[in-house]
Formats: sequence, C-alpha cells, structure tokens
Amino acid sequence: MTNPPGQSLERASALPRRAFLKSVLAGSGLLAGGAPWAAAQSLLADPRNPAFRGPNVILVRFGGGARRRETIDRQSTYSPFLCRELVKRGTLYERMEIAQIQGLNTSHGEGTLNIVTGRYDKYKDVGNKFLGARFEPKVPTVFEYLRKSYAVPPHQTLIVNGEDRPDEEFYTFSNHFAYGIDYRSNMLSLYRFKAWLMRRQIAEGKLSDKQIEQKKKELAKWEQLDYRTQGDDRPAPALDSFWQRWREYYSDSGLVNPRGDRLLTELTVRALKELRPKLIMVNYQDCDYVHWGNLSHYTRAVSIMDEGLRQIVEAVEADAEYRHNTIFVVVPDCGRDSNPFADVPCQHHFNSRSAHEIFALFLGPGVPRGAVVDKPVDQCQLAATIGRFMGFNAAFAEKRVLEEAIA
Amino acid sequence: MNAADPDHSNSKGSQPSSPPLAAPAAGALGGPACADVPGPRLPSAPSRPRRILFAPVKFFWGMVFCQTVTGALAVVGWTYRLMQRSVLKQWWRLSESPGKSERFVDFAARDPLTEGHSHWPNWFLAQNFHRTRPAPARFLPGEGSGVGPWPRPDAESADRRSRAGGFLSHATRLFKALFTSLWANVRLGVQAIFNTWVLTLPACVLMLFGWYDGWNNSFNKGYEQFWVGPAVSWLGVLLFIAAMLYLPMAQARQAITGNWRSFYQFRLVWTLVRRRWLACFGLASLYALCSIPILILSSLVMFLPNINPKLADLTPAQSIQVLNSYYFRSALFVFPAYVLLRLVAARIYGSALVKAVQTGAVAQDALSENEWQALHRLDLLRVEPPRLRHPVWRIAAWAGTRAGSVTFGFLTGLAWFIFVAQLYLAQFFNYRGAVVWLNQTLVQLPWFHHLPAALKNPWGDFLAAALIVFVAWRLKRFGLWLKSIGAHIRSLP
Repeated sequence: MTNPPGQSLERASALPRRAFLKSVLAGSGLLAGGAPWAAAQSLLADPRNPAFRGPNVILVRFGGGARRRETIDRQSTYSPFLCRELVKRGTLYERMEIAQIQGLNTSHGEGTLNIVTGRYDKYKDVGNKFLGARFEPKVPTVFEYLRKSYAVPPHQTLIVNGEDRPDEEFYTFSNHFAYGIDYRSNMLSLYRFKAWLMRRQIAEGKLSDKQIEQKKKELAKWEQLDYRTQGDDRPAPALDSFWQRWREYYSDSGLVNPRGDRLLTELTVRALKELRPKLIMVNYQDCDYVHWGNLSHYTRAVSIMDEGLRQIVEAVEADAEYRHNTIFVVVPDCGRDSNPFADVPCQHHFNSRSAHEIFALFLGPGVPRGAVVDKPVDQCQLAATIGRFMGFNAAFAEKRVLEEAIA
Repeated sequence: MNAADPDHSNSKGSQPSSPPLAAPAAGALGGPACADVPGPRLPSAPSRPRRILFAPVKFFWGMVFCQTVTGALAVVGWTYRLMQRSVLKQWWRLSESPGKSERFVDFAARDPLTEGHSHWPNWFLAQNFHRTRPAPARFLPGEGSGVGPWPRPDAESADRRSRAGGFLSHATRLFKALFTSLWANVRLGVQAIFNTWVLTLPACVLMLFGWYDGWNNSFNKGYEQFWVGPAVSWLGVLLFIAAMLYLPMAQARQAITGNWRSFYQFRLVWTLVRRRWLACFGLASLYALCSIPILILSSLVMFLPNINPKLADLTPAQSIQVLNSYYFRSALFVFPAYVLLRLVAARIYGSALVKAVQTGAVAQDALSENEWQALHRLDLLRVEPPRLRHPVWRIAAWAGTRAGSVTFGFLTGLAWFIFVAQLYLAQFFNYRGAVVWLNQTLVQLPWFHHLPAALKNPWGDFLAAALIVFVAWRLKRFGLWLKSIGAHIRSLP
C-alpha cells in the first residue's frame, strides 16, 4: 500500500474550507440551474490533492443476485475460476450478509449502493416508479471519497453498467452536500455510448434532416433522465477518445460488440488499457434473468461472469502497472431465494434469509492468500475496507473494517 | 353414496301424480311428448338431512380429486354430468306446459334417458344405487353423457337376470355398480379434455415457446430476431382468445349432448355464441375474475418461507407435506370455481339453444337425440313465427345487434386477454414450467397441485393418469371380448 491508512485518514477527514464552499456552491448551483458549470468543473482532478499511487481496486459486483451455492460452494459451483482458483489466492468471507433491517430490500440497486456507500438505507425510486431503482444515495460513494482525497480524474473512477439497468446509470455520485457531482465517477455503458454517438452524429451532420431531428428528440429525452446534471455530464476528453475508438472498432450499429455481461467484461478490459482507472466497479447483472423462470439463464450467467472475471484478472496480470498494484473485491449485490416450494428456487430475491446471504472475496497485494473467514460480516463493511486499502476515510460509511483481508 | 340435491324444495318424498304433458303446441313436434314413459319407480326427492350430509361429502371428494391428474379427469366428467342436469332443470323451469311434472325429480324420473338426473351425479356409485340394487352398468348408444339411461330401460329384466344368475353374477354387478359413476366420470373427463386440448393446446404451446424464446432472446441479446419471442407469444395469446370465444359453449354442448363429436359442430355452437354475446362476455369476465384467486394462490406459495422463515429449512418430505396441505386447501376455491364456470356456461347454452330453436335459428334436426327428447317432453320445441316489424325498426334493430355484437365481441376478447395476462403474471411470480402453460386450471384440467420438479416430476402425474386410463380401457375391451366369446359359445347349437 503506497498510502498509509493513518495518513490518508487525517487528510480526508479535514475538509478544506474552499472545497466545502465549492461543494455548497455546486449544490446550490445545481438547484439554480448551474449544473453545467459544476459538471464541467468536475471533469478534472483537483490539483491540490496528492497523486494517487495505489493500490487500484477492481470491484466486481457478482450479480445481479447470486447465491453462495452456485458460486463459492465447491460441490455445486458454476463459477470454477472464482471458486477453485481465485479463492486460493485471496481472502474469502464466506458468511457475508446483508443485514436484516425492517424495510431494507435485497435487490440490485440497493445492494450496489450498500457496497459503494458502506451504509444501509431504505431507498425509494425518485420518481416513485413501480419496481424503479432510480436511487440517490445520501452519503458519499467510494468514488467520491477517493476523488476528494486524491488527484484522480473522474474517468479513472469508473462504473461499468449493463444495458438493461438504466436506473443504475445514475449511481455515479451522491446527494451529499460536501461531495456529490464534483467528485462523481464516470459511467461506461452502452447507454452512454449511444448518447455519445447521438451527439456525435448530430454534430457530424451526415444524417438526413429527419434523422437528425429524431436523434435530437431522443437525446433530449435521455438527457432529461439525468436531471441532476441536466444532461451536461459530458464525457471527459479521455472518455471521448475511448468512445471514438470503440466506435471505430465496433461501428455504430450496436450489433457487432459483445452483448450482455460479456459486454461489461469487454468494456472493463478496454478501460484498463485505455483509461487506466484507479477504482472501477463492474456491475454484472445477467443472472437476474432467472426472474423469468429459466434456471439455466442463472447458471449460464454465473459462468459468463466467472469467465469475465478470469479475463479481467488476466488483463491485470498482463499489465505491469496493475499487476502488483491492484486489489480485486468480488461481491454479489444480493443473494437469491432458496425456496423449497418453487420450481425455480432462486427465481426471486424476496428478502428471504438466503437473499441476505452473500460472500466477499479479496485478492491482491496486501491480502492474505488462501484465508477463509467463517464469521458473519456485513456487506456495508466493504466501503470502509476499500477505503483502508486505497487510503481514504469513508467518513460516512460503516466504520468496521474487514481486518482479516488486510495483511 | 347417493346424491343429494340441494336445490330441491320438496323433500316430502311423496309420489305425485304424473299428468301427461300437453298436446303438441303449434310448431312443436308431436309424438313422444304425449307418451311420457312411466318410469319403473319414481324416486323420492332426497330429504334435507340427507342433502346436508351428502353435499359436503361430494364437495370433499371434489377437492380430493383436484389433487391428481386422474382425479381431475373425474372432476371434469362429474362436472359435465352436472352441467347436463343443470340444463335439463333449466329447461324444465322454462317449460310452461301445463302437463309438466310439479317437481323436477319427477320429470327426470319419468324417462329412462333422464332418470339419472334425479339427483346430483355421484362420484363412485351408480346413480340411484340404493334403489336399483346392483344396477347393470350399461349405457345406451351415445351414452357418453353418463346420464343416459341409469339404468337402461331393460334394467328390471336385467335385475331379474342378475338375481337368477346366482351369487357370483350378483356380486359382479354389485362390484360394477360401486364404481359405475367413477368410470363414467373419468371416461367423460378423458373425452372432454381431449376436445378441450385439441382446441387450446396449439395456442398454449405457442405461449410456452413464446415465453421461453422471449426471455432467451433477452438473455442472449438477440436484437436481430428480437421479434420472434414476442410474436410467437402474441400469436399464442390471440389464438387462445379465439379458442376461448368458442370453447365454453362447445364444452357445454358436449356435456349436454353427451357426445364428444358434438363439440365440433362449429356452426351450431358459433350461432349460439353470436346470439349470446353479452352472456359470453359475462362468462369471460367471470373466468377472469375467478383466475385472480388462482393467481394469488399460485404466487402465494412463493412467499410461504417469507411468511414463516422456518419453512425454508424443511426436508423434502416435509416440504411435500406442506405443499399437499396447501394445495388441498386451495381446492376449496379451485373446485367450486371450476364447477361454477361450467354451470354458468351450461345455463347460457341451455337458454340460447331453446331460444335459437324457437326462433328457427337452429333447426330441430341439429339437436342431439337427448336434447330433442327433453325439449319435446317439455313442449319447448314450438317455433315462434317471426314478428313483422316496420322496415325502419328492422334496420335499427339489425344495426343495434350488429354494433352490440361487435362491442361485446371485443369486450369478450378483452376479458379473455385479462384472463391470459394473469397466467403470464402467475408465471412471472412463480414459474411452474410447461405444465402450467399447457394446462390452465380453470380451462382444462382442474388439477391444482404443483410440486416443484426437485421434489416430484410433474409429468409423472400425467403419465400415471394416461396409464390408468389406458389399462382401464383395455380391461373394458377385454371384458367385452370375453362376453362376446361367451355369447358366441352359448349361441352354438
């Protein structure tokens, strides 16, 4: 670890007056329609902060919703790389849980925010949509903590999101007055690529007037969704180049690039090469298709995630800068039911005991190898633990750190 | 176990006089109507205590039979017999003939064709078992109704032969009579479900594969052929709705005629449907309404471990026990709902048919033999001459009827769509596999007992039912063959 935890704690806990005022201004500016200014400001790393030297963290959301049985159980696993290979190289918390709190849901959006904020909360969709997952965390995310503590530009704090979870596109920053948009992370997803592509196609003017009109309308609709930045959360130049290269390789059609969770793996591997992220979260999701009753969608998706994990690990190992300076954290957003009365026991995650039962695996420099921790721990302890690794203080997160994962 | 008839008002058990039916009215056929065949013995109406005793017993057996596929076949057959009785009673009520019997039970008992309808159908014993002693379990041709002659007209002589045949023959007949109704119920159920599946299974298969491919497509992100799954689903849904516009009336026709072929009298059935759009809309709405508790019951089972977390730790044997109990209790709704829907369909059919015959929309020769006999006895075959109205009124009436038909036709389709939508919703909450797509509890078999495949193979029940029906059928054929051999030997000089 290049940044001793104690040192970074001091630095992070002292909130500079200027930064505080800027945050308040940014917050009020947002409310007053000054979001573009705030958004533009946050494209850069704060030069007053020290440079971040590592370790980098790759947070793999092994979701959406995976049980221990198909993942870390050696007898019934569908993710052999995780279970038979990675577990030997790191520290496994085989009894991680999502706390049983009245009103707390065991779902994907909630689980993701439990991980990145280190706090449990009863989230409600901002538009009160049925089954909507457009949540806004009240406390900062690990991305915000990192960016506030170190000179890390937003394109190096990334969330890789799936194509079927548009609500999760907006988990990039919290509503906390001292953090928020200024310290946001960037999103890599087909949604973002399509938005970028529409802007680009409109600017190029190669389409017919009718097509351009159509694209403008569609883009306006998309931008409205991102009401906190009013659509002005434009990609940084580095991301712009990233999407440009993506477009050159995969063309505009969207039919050439990988699909589903394989797309997330591809985006991650490319991001590692091209954007050099310090903290990246990969939000795998496809095993959630078991909601429709086909069990093989779940087991296949677990295998595809496992394969994706292998590719990402290989990409890190092949990169000299990342090889000995990257910590992996693999954790499901939630578990799934183990319903003895259902044909597909894991079809849903209705807050059952099994839906609360997950695991977490840490591996990388400074993580004990081959350790298995057989005691109950909490999903919300992850943020503080990541903070300890990366050298920031997750001030508003659960304070307990997963000490066994730190050598 | 003999039947009780809860809707009988006269429980005195007296033998009323049997006045002859009225002379044929204008437009009605003459002949047999006046020759009301005096039955061998007129049964008394079941007493109130007896009805109170037997109604819950019959209900209980209905619930039990809903737990297996074979049992569900018996429920279907039993319900068809009840539909036949219900329509017969409806016609008896509609009859204004001064010569009709005062009590339905008397009317039914006067003709061997309807004698079995004196009381509700039995689950096991031959109808009028207590009265007929070991009744010969034989039916007239076309007796698939199971309510044809119970016993047939030569029952008395058969009884005499039976007595003369000695103890063995007597015991054989007694044994047969113990299961006559069960056999009739299952046999009618097989015929009924065969026809129902012929009409609905293609749509159900399309819905099954549409669901499978739709989500398979989502999982694999098959954008290039994204339309396949939804298109197959929509095709299945539309086909199902189309089938359901026809099915309840066709089922009623099959039940009332007792002839499985009558299910396919498309012109007649469709004529009745078109003449009763409003009632058919009501029936479709009732189906949609009744499927809400089914949706809840099939989904609620998913939440049992949430309601009681201890249930999540049960052994497979304990889980089966809990589910058995759950589904048995569910039959408290499923069984009466299934019967109610068919009784309503039967009533619609009964009234529509009488009206259609009387207005000449359906010719008398399109009726089945038992329908014609019953209507004839009740003097309901009179053809009313069409009323002459002013051309303007006729045009207005035609337009109104047309608009009404289109409106209610659309609404009926919509009600069926709501019914199907609930199936999709139920599958989303608790996916119970292909079985549920292919067999919807209120439409096909009232089999509502779904154990997860990990506990028990759901197709095992179907295979067992098929095996039982096949073996019983072959045994019956074998028995007939033995009898014919015996008859042949006896006829030798």
